[in-house]
Amino acid sequence: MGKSPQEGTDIKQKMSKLKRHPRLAEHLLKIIFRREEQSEKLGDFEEGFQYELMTKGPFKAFLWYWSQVLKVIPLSIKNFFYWSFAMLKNYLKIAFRHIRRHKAYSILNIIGLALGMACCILILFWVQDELSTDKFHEKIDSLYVVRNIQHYGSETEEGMGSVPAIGPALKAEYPEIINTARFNNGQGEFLFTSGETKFKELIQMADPEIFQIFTFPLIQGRIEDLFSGPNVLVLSESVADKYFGRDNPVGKTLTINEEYDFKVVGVMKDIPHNSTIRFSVWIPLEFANTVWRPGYTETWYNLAFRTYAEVDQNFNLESFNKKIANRIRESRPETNSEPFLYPFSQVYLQVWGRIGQIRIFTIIAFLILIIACINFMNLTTARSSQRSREVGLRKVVGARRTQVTKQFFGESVLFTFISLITALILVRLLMPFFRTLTGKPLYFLSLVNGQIILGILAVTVLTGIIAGIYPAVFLSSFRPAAVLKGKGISGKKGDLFRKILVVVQFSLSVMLIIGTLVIFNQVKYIKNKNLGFDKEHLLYIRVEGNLKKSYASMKHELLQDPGIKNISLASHSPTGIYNNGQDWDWEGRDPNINPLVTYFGVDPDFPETFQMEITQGESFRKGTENSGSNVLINERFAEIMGLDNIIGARLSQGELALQVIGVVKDFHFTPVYREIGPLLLYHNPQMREYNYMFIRLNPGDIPGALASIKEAAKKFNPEFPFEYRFLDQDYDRLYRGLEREMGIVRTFTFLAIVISCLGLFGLASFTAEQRTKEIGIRKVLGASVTKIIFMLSKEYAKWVLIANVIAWPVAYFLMHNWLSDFPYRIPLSWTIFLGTALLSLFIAQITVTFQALKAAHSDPVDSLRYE
Amino acid sequence: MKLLSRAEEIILLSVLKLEENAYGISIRELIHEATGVKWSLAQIYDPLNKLTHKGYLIKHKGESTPERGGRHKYLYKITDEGKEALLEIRRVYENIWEKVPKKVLT
Repeated sequence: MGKSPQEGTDIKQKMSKLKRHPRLAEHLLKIIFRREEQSEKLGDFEEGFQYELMTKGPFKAFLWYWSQVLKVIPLSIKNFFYWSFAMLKNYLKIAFRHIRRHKAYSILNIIGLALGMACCILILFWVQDELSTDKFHEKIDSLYVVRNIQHYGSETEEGMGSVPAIGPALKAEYPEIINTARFNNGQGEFLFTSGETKFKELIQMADPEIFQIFTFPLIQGRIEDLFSGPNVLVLSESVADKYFGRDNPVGKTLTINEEYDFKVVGVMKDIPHNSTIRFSVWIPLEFANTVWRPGYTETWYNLAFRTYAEVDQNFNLESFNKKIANRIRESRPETNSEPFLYPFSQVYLQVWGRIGQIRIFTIIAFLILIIACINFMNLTTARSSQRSREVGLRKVVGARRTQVTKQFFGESVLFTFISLITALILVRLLMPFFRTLTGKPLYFLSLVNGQIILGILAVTVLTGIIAGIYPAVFLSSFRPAAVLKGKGISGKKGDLFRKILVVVQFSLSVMLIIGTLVIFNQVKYIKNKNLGFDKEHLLYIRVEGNLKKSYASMKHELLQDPGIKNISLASHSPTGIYNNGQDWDWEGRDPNINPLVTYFGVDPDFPETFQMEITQGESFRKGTENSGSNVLINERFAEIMGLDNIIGARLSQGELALQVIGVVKDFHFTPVYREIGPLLLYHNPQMREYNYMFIRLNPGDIPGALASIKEAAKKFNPEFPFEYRFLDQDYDRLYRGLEREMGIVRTFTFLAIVISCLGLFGLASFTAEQRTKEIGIRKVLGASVTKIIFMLSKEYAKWVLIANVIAWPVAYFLMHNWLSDFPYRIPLSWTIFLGTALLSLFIAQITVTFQALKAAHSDPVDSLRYE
Repeated sequence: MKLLSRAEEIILLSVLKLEENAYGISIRELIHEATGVKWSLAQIYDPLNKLTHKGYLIKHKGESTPERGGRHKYLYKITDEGKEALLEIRRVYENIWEKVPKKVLT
């Protein structure tokens, strides 16, 4: 189709008059075709367009051009995939070859990353479980807790308790409240009898409405029957299984404490572990009116209840709380309580303060992941110089920089995916161990859901990209000519970068170590803090059944046993005193002070049995000559009263008048991480509300003493099975949660350090390898092994020290914050920081020395022949 | 022998026939004349690329013309292997046709 030059000029003239081809379509072509092809292809399109223009006119030509361009697209896509697939195959082949050739390094790299990811996944499982607490209730978003603000003069205190009358009142008076339900605080252990079956279980008293507003499904029985009177009960599935096996317990009658008959009306599914409300036997709250006193559940005072409310869609929290602020005052003008609603979904996180721990754990998870990523980056860049020739060659045969970048990103993502698979296997294997560590029934398969899978995949790809950034950018910047000439790359910049990474990594590890040490010491301090009494060799049994009447004789008989030192009776166990009240008055009281005082009913032997110190005045007198109005107070209460002469001071609450006869040294009747509050020890000779008998044993023959206690219990209280507990076990139980978290933190810190060391190990071996020749020459010239080890390790020591200096202020700030939540805490001493520095130096040194030794001991002849 | 697709075969033949003036537009035109079907440029480029890749065609830069917007033509030329392949196909066809009885077609 050759055209003469004459024709060409004609076309040129026509061209100037006519429209040109579509610009946008041309741009599309430029994207589709590589630059080398553009001249040919665009020329063809142009020529075809001009031909169409002449023969068919501008509009048809325009359409023609576009249709031709669009028809090219499928072809180009096909080609793109063909070529990228070919390259991908090549990249994969090279990557796997690389892994195979450097087995040790690759395994180190993959294991390090896998370990980091496994830790991260495990911790995130824990976090997910914590966040899921209470979320299993179907109505969770419309559930609120009726809480209470107490005004003590200028001070206020927010509590979870509420007065019993507020719940029904809210339901009756406000249309936006659909339903309310009350729990009685605390659960009591009672004896159940059904024919031959006898067992002890904790009982929860609550309104039957709890089965309507919460998701506690019944598997036997009908919900209507729960409302049929005060003498019905519901058992949990496991309790029913334990005592009735396959028999359906519904319809059976159980006798509680040999006194009250209850009909089993339902069996409920066991409450899941992630619930803040837990109980296994339910009886109606109404029963309290029968057993304690009539009208117990209808008063406008007594905060020993928790009230929950279900609201409708029109509910507005803020305006509602304004409306009800005065509700208690309307019915009881002298009150200092104000009710307010609080979202139930926030109770675990905010009121129980779990959000702090969850944050700490999430931070630890990501710190570990960052440390692992840094490892990966370090090892990859360190090895990169070995790939400089490959990159050079790729570039020579036409690879563009973006292709090399993509290759290394791809390789890095490939590595992370191999690590992910390893990590998942690790997680699966570590699950049983993790269950004991956390005390949570976490199972791998039940934790894996769509969200988590997406999250893990996202984290993996992100890790791959973050870890790949430096190798990708650094390696792709190689100049092929220089690299192929064998000049290598000037490692200076890479070196510095690697060192900075090592410093960052070690700073993070140092922070974790300091954090762990501080937490460890604080937990140890709390556990071993002097409680204010001697908790060793102190056991207790419950005063119940016949013992309620005959405890005095039993006490008298037991004291004859030489293995038993003292015996005292008390209303509560010191780890669980729920009895408290306000509105105490004394001479010279600042009207703004109205403390919440805890009451502890004891017999005269109590201070002696607990080996408590009386700091002022005197203890109760022995025998029966005590007056019921004589009380002991603790130092904290004495401090609040602020009287010069506390002994003989008169205390009154309404019609009740008491006299202080002595002050006991403060002792912890709440967990040590709470502040000791004011306490009042009273002894009433006519009192019949002793629930516990405390027995202090002589350290000698403990089994013998236990045997005689058991015998006495059988004799005085034959109906009840004999059970006893040591008080120190109870105290240990208080700190079990804290210790568990301590265990988790410690384990993961240890793993973080291991991961850091893996990275350092790889890096040190790489440096040693790079300096093989230098070491050989030094040895030939007479350097000793020690000198070479020193030379190789001093550099790392320097960087580890710098890491310490960076980490200290951050760790100090963070841990100072953490400690400030504890009223009784350890000082942040410099020894912890110094100790951490030494520890980190030591660990780094061991890691490096191992490699240095290998390098220093190698035969100089071999090393000089190296390469 | 390597079998060619029908599109490749037609393109290869066109290049052979066009001798010194085989490029995108001219090939397209020839095919239009010979078959009465208008191929899109994409349909031409794909076999052209494959044939070049297989070594049956070579590409070289030609003159630039104003109707191409001043761009160079890239002219295709058949190689000896290309000719061999066409001859091979022709031989196969002839061999088969020879054995087809005349009456079958009528």
